Amino acid sequence: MNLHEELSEIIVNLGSLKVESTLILGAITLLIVGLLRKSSWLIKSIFGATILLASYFNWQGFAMTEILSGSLSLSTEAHIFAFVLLISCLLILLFKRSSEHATEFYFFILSLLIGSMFMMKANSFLVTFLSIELTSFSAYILTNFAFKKSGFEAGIKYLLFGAISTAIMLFGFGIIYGATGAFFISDFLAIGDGGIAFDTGLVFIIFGLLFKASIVPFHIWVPATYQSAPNDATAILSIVPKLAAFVLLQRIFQTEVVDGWIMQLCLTLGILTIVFGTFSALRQSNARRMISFGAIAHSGFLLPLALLNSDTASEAFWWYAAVYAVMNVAIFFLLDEYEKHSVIELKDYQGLGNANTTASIAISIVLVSLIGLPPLAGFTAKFFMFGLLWEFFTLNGEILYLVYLSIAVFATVISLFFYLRIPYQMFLVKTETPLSIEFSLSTKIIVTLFSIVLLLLFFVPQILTVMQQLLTSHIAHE
Amino acid sequence: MENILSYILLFPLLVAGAMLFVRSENTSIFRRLALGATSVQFFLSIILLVQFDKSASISSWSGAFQFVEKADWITMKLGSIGQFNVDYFIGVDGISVPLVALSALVLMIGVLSSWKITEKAKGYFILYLLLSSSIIGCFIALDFFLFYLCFEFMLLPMFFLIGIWGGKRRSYASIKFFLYTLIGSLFILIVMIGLYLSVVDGNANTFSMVSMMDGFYEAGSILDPASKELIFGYSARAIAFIFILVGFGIKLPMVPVHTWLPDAHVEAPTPISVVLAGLLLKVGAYGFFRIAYGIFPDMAFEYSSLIAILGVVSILYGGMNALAQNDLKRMVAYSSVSHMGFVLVGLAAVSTEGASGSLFHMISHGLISSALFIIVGVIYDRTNNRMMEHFSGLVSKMPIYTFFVVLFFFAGLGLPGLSGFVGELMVLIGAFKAGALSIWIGLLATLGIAVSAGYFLWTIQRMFFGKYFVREKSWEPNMIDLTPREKFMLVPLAILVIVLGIYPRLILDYSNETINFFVQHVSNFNP
Repeated sequence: MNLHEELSEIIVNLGSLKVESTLILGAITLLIVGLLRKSSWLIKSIFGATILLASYFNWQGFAMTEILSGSLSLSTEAHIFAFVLLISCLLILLFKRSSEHATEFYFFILSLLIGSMFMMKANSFLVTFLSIELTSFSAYILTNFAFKKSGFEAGIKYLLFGAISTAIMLFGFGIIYGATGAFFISDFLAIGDGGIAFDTGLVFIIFGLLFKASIVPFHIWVPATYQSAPNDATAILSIVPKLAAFVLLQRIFQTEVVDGWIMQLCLTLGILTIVFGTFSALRQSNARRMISFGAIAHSGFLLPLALLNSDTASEAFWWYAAVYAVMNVAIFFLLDEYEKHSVIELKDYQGLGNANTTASIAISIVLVSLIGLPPLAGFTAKFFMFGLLWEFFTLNGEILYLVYLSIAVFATVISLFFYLRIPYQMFLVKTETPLSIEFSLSTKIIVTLFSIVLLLLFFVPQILTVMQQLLTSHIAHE
Repeated sequence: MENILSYILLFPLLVAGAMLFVRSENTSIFRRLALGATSVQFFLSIILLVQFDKSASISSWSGAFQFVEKADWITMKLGSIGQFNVDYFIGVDGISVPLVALSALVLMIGVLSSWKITEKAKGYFILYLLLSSSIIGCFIALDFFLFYLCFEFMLLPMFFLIGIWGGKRRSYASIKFFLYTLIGSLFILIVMIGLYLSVVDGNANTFSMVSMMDGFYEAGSILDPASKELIFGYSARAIAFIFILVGFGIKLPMVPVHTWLPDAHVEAPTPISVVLAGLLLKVGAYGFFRIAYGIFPDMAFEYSSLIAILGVVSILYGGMNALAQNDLKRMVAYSSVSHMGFVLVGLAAVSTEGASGSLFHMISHGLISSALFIIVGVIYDRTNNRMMEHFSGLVSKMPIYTFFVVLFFFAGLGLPGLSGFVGELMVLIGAFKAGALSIWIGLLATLGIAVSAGYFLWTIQRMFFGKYFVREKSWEPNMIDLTPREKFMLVPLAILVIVLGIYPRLILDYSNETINFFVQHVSNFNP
């Protein structure tokens, strides 16, 4: 193949990277404009326009192949999850943010998004590593965007843990390359039984991804980070890198070279995640920290959906992920609104139920959905997850699935205790001097819409599957 | 009136939705709207009773239901499970139709009993109407998913109704209630998923409880009775049955998982106690009928002794506890535990007498316990106190009130001529006749009636007879007899308790065909 052919192939392949290219160009434009004009309105519109354009290109779809000499592998999952990621990023425009540092903030959100998009499509070890690093470094900086001492501490903590876990992951790449000569995830299929060296390498790579997905014991950075970052950044941190890591994990596990014991190890970690997240959340006194531990527990719920290889699993995964994204944007939006009125600790929520009914009902609805009770979308998501584990237990008869199921159910009961603490403080605890806070009309409308979406997704769950089919059909069309 | 069940189910929701748009300052409009909604519900349920064909003979569960409405609700392709189908599938048979009527009546009386609630009236009545829809939904749902939705959705309104409008320890009581019932319903959820994966309608998996009761299992599926697969040494069906037993047992409530009930009752406002005792406990009992016995008849036979023993323990333990109470409301709450034990004993007998007796006892207890909590509410409204030792000789000041107290207490202890007697008698006949049950079950259950006579009579003697006395001077001016509103609540209940005691066929005619088929269906699995 001569240079000309290679170049023309690259140019053709770049056509499949319209989404990422748009995001990169948008990010650069944003930086330049931000240098020239300090108008947060302008920055926000560039950010929004970039994401809308990227979503449009994503909607158009692309051919499902490996491109750029195998560096990237375009999969259906990457395609449809890109949509969740893009929409979540778009939704953070709803958060009220002061114009200070707007350029940098939205730039790093975009770079985080770009990293995550590449992560979902990464095939060669190099791209995997680079995309994870791009995501991580953006995340380290976003953590400190509240410019407080605690944020700085959390950022450093995150950086150190992140560095170690990427080092472990790199080590894993090295072992696999050394042992088998494989440099692409898609090569795993040809390896078959890779022996102990391959397995070790694989476990190291998986650990690196579990770090991003905040699975116990790689979760230590989560509470501090989520608590210290600005709320809009936290919402993104809890959705975008996490889901991207899960998508990549799913692709690795779909190569079917993963040994039984690795699967068991991962599922065991998933169980621990649920247990740890749930029980730690019980002991929190800060609202955001409590929700963070809840988000860790939710990772434990997502994990089997990503790891298990079946059609049901991938649909349930999509369903859970989409609902999870909506719930997290909604809850961090609401927490942000309350924090702006210096309602931060759980006890600050005392008696607020009467002060502002719309917001307090909305936050109750979102929290009940996070618990997973009907008639809210969170229930259906958990329902699919329970159903999947039942099904796998029935098919394989492996007790681990049953244990996972029981723990998940048990954790749902426990999660009632901490999630309900906010409505409990709001409605059930009476105070002598209830705080009266007013939210703007736009806030009320937004939170009402979030509540309606969560209700609607319960009563008409088809919406999400139809959406998935629509997105997939676009690909087949190409 | 083809869609009468849908109207009964959805009308309160509609009114609740309309309430959202009324300004919360107009406190009195909410109770009127709520009364209107529940009256319409009650009126429709009367029409339902009139139009229900009592003599329709039944040969399979699929033919047992009337006023059936079925529409697609959720249809989505879901991977290898295939189609994920949930139907809006409702209907009533002889077991559920009296319960629907009871619910409509009690819910209407509950609104009357809430008349004095003006604090946050908007929230209160919206939650109340949500609760009433979900209670009715439980009794008419034939799709397990729909049933579960209604079953679970009762928790949230109840949590807030107890937690916001309740007594001193309301937050403790409401959380305990929520926690217990949520644990129970998650047990049920697990079984529901298992059943969905096992039962087929045509060739697609289904949530239809009718198919589940008729036993259309996919060969080799996990809950197929023919399946030999064991989990920890037990068959999947046995485990599922135990789960169901715990799930509905908590709701019933059955000793030893009853401890949420006294707390919830004591802290709940009067109308919510009325609904809780009158209806929510019946949902638990209905679950035993429909799901534990209806879907797992084979297991129900195997475990009938266990169920009967749990029933007897509930009767005696609840009764003994009632005997030891000083708080009138706590006494009534424990008497509920004791009475619901009879439902279990009657079911465990698996005979027409036993099962009809259980159902009749459910209805009768629904009426009596509602009245008892209203009675407690009367004294609490006047004095903010309900400790028995603080009152004596009330008959001299409140003769009409005392008359109702005596009437309902006697109904509760099973005086012949009142409805409580019929249910208990039938249950006991069933228990003595049942070959599978030891004679001790019947004997001990009879002893339970003696215990209930003990606490009811003792209470009457302590509080209502003897020399007139109230603890605080300041209560004196409040000690007036029943107001017209209170009479208006108690009179219909009193009439029904008497009428049903004299003419039990009023209920039994509705349930006969269904109960006969129910018993015959379960008996087929007699080993």
